[in-house]
Amino acid sequence: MPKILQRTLLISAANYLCYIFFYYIAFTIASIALNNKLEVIENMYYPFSFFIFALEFYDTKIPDYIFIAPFSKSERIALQKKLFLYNHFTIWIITSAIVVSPELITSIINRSIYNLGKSIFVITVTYFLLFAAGHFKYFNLLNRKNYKFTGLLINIIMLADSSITASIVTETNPDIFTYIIAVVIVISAVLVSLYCYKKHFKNMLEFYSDYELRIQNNNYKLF
Amino acid sequence: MLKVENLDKTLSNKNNTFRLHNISFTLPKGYICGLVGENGSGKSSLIKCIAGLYQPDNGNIFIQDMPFYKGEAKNKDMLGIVLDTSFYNQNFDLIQIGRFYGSLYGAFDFKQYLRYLSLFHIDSKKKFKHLSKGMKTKVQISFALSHNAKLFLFDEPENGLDKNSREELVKICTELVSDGEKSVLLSSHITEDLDRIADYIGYMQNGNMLFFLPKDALCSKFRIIKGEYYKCHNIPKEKIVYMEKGKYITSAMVIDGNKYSSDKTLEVYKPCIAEFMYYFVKGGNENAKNIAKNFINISS
Repeated sequence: MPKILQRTLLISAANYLCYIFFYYIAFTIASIALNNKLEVIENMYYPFSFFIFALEFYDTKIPDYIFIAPFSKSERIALQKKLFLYNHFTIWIITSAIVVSPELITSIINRSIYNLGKSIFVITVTYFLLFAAGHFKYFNLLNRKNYKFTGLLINIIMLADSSITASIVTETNPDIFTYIIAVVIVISAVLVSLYCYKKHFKNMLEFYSDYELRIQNNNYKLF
Repeated sequence: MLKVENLDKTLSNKNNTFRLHNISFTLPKGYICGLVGENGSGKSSLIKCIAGLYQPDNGNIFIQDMPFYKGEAKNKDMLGIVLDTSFYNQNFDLIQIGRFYGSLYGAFDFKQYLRYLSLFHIDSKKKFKHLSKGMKTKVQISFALSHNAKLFLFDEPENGLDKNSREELVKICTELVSDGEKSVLLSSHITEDLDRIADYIGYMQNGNMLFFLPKDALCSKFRIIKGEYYKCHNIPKEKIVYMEKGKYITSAMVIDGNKYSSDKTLEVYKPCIAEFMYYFVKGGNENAKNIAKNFINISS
């Protein structure tokens, strides 16, 4: 990984861990305050719905100095793409490790195909939803109504997918209907991330690699 | 070294639109150009276009005869840039800045960078965010001078610098071009320094480059005439850039005013850049455009 991106990636991962920690503490305090066991301490699937929105709170973009440094536009786009993909991968690994690792370890020890299947299901859905979530900040920055609407729609799908995922995997007696919903969730997660990739990924990379576009849409003073 | 041809660029945000219009000039190797003009005339925008931050809508930029965007990475490697806002990570200390950003350039000399920091009396262990504006500019200058750049773009580098540091910068600029291989494009409101070091003057007004001329050739076209009002009043109106009637003395900047030097009752002398700009601006935008068109650019 290029050295210029390493620091950005480290900060992104550290931010995400702080974000997860915050939600975990918040849930724990809420459960104590309500005197109501929310099972959050035993089961990380409940705050999972919030974890996948992490990438929407900040954008991961190439450092400003890249615009002055000796890089061509295509090199900047390539750097931005690398940063996005590395960041997505890192956040996915962290999320998967925190959310499913207890279940995954248990399933391996107990040789439970069902629990292994649950873990793979959550890991798969997380991968695709996080990819879509990485576009949300870009939609907001563009400051155009249709893009904001697109971002909102994607958010609704993500919220639905993640909440239903959390609900399904904590189901004690799953029936055939549960499995059908699981398949639908995976398909919708794949579709939403495919939509982002096909329609917006390239434009997003160009946006972050163009100084003028970046500051124009951040309402910075242009001149 | 630097050639700009018919550059057009429209810059807009929510409240404003500004346009750089049909800018053309050539800065040869081994020369310093002072870019002057009022606030908001487009000096910074022009420098940012040349630095590659804004892509022109029309026109071309050539650095050492290579189109800028054909070899963007190679051209940027040749640029030493000092802007009003720095692009460094604010949490880095100056050593980190040198190592981290220096690694992006082919010929960055870290020891030279530290030498320049020492020349400007800046502690290299300090974090960038803890520096004053003037010190941040000095860091940018030190960095720009340390990677064997050929073309230096300085956007009001003297803002926030103390007198000694300004003297150092003037000395550095003179030394830079002394080998005849490097050039400096420097925008500044401190015209006394430009008087001392600039070889060319580019005057900008409302996004237009009204003229780009050797400083001596420009100033030799004009004369400041000071004397009694009735004497100055006799000067043909079309030759007057601007006349200022004082309580006792009237002064005017005049085109081709050398012929009045034989009149002992008038004080006639060549204007410095500060005086030139004062009278040019006071004369009004339309007058400035007409004078540039009819008297400056025709014979240049």
